[in-house]
Amino acid sequence: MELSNYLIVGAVLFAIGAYGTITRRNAIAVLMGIELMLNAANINFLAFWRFLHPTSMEPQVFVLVGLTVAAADAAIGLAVVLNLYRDFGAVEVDRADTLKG
Amino acid sequence: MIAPFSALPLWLLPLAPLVAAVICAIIAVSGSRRAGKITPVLTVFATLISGLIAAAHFPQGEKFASQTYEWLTIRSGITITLSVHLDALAWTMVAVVTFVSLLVQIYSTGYMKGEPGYARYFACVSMFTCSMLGLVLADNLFQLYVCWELVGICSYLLIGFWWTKKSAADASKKAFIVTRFGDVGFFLGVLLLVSAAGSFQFSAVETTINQIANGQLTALPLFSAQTFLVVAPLLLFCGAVGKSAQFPLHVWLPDAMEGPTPVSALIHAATMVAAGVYMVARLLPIFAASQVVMNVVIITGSLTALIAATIALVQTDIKKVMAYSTISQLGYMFVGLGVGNRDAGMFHLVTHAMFKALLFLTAGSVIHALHHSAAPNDMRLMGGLGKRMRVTAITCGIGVLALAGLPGLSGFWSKDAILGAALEKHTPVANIALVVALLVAALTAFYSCRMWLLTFAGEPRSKDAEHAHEGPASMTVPLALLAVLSVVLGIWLHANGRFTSFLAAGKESAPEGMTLWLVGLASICSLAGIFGAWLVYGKTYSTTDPVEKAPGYALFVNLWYVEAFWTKIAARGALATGRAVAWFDRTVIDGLVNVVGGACQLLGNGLRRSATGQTQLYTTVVMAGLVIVALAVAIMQSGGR
Repeated sequence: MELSNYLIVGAVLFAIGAYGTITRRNAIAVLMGIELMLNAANINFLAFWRFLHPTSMEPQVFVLVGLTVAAADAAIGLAVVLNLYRDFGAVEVDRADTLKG
Repeated sequence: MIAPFSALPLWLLPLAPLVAAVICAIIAVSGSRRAGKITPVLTVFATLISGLIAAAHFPQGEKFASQTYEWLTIRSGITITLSVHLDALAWTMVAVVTFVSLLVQIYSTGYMKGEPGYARYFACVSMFTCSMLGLVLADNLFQLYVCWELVGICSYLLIGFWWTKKSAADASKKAFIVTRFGDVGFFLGVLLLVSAAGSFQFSAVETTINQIANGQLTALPLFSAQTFLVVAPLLLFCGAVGKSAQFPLHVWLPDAMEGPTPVSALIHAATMVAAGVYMVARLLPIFAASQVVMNVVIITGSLTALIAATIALVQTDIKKVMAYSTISQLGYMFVGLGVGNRDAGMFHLVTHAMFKALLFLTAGSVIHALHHSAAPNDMRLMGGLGKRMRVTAITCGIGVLALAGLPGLSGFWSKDAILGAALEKHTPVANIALVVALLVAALTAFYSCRMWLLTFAGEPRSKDAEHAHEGPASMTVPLALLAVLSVVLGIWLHANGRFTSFLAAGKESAPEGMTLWLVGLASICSLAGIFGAWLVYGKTYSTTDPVEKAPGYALFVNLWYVEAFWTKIAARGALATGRAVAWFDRTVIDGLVNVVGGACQLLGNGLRRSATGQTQLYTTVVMAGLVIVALAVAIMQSGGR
């Protein structure tokens, strides 16, 4: 296995996440897209650690912090979705356009 | 009796009235019911203390009391000091100020009784006394200028004492604004002199002027030496013209008569308006360095004396007659100073302070007696008051004769001192001034006697005049005191050259020489004026005033069109300039601001469209940006290889 294989997986995962974030109208799907992008970053971190700096511990710490942030992010995101539903009666993100200039 | 007062600190001399003013002001604000009892006592007491301290520090020869407090030092080495500088010249003024203040304050207790603003009145009068003493006791231009403005503001407050009356409020504004015209010049003059001398002290400034005149000092700010010697004193003189109501800035003084009459006596006759004369007398060496400046002083003085005297001829308001008379007499003083004789100018200042304060206080007495009348100042509605107000009539008569220059009374001696000084000068300008002064002497005698005859002689011409009666003792006693001084002060100061040797302060003083034919001529002039007035007004007074038929009446009654000049041309010019500036402000300045504002609005309107509120669009843009940056980095790295 080479480094590039892992990076390709990461890139594909990021692209899928970005696509989902941009195109899906359902807020929960958007959140899922964001989670995918975060995990793509984690995969890149671990791949670089494994192939380039196997002795240092920082990448693992980064990944753990990233996972924690992703969990918090999901919690907040779901709270936002809940409020979105309460205020607009829907979970479609394009309905929430009151900040339109 | 006065010896113990030399133990009191000298700085209490100007500050005692300030303490009284502050306490009176607090009482006035608190609206205490006992204000009427406390404030006059406090004010009179404070002025008395000042007077007694001054008396205890009578200057002996070259020695005089002086105290200086260093206030602040500017980094360039200029020190600003506050001083109590009681030399002979200052002492003379302090004596006049405290004495007249004291009498006026005592008089006011009777005159102002029952006024709602009683405490406020005494607070202002006390504040004025303090400011005037500070002005007189200055030994530097800074203190002089500050106190100069302080007396101005006190004058403003007192002219507008009955501020609910529109004419009084207008008059106070006019007095303040017109004197400001002069004060701008004064301020510039002070700055110019200080920047050349590097010090505010009179002595340093005089030394600098001497050095410039001798050609020892040529590096001057803005001007060459010759121009500087003309411009700097002339700028100072502007201040004197404004404050001492000289042509063409005299227009505020007649209007200032809207104030209470004791105030007119104190501020607008005896003391504040003399501040200009005092300033010129104090800084005479600066003025004397240039003959041009001295000629300007003479011409301004004699022109003012003539114009004001002719206007006084045709006035029907008793206080207006005296106001123009004051302007005229101040012009006389400037003639004395302009021919280089400080002593003559100051001599007339002192005697004039006495008899003009007396005249104003008698006028106040008359107005007080007629205060139920619709027009208490109108002489056409008076007449016959002599029988009903004996003390006022007699004291006023003495004041009138002193003003007219009846031989022997104080006005005669001081007027002759000025005439003699003008005669000795032997320049064309001084000679013309002499002729004008003699003419003015005759006019003065005429209008002052006309005023007395219209007021006190004949039969009453209105109901109110029939029921007039004398005021309380607090009003008549000051009148009597001033009347006595109006008689004896002139001869007493003149005898043995007492006044000149006092002002010379131990130095050699030239004794006042009196040219007999000039004295005779002056006496004839004043006697002719008195006799003329008696011929015209002595017997009867019909409804039309004989002066209305006199040649030049239209010119005089229209105040030589100076008033019209200021209101029509100067004020309108100022308004037109103001409108032009307002137009420029509204179109150009505001236009620029509007352009900036409009541009921002347009830009905002354009940018607003990009904010759609669609979160996913924003994300797309961010992603696109990321891709572009990534591509750019990739291309740059591949290009580097």
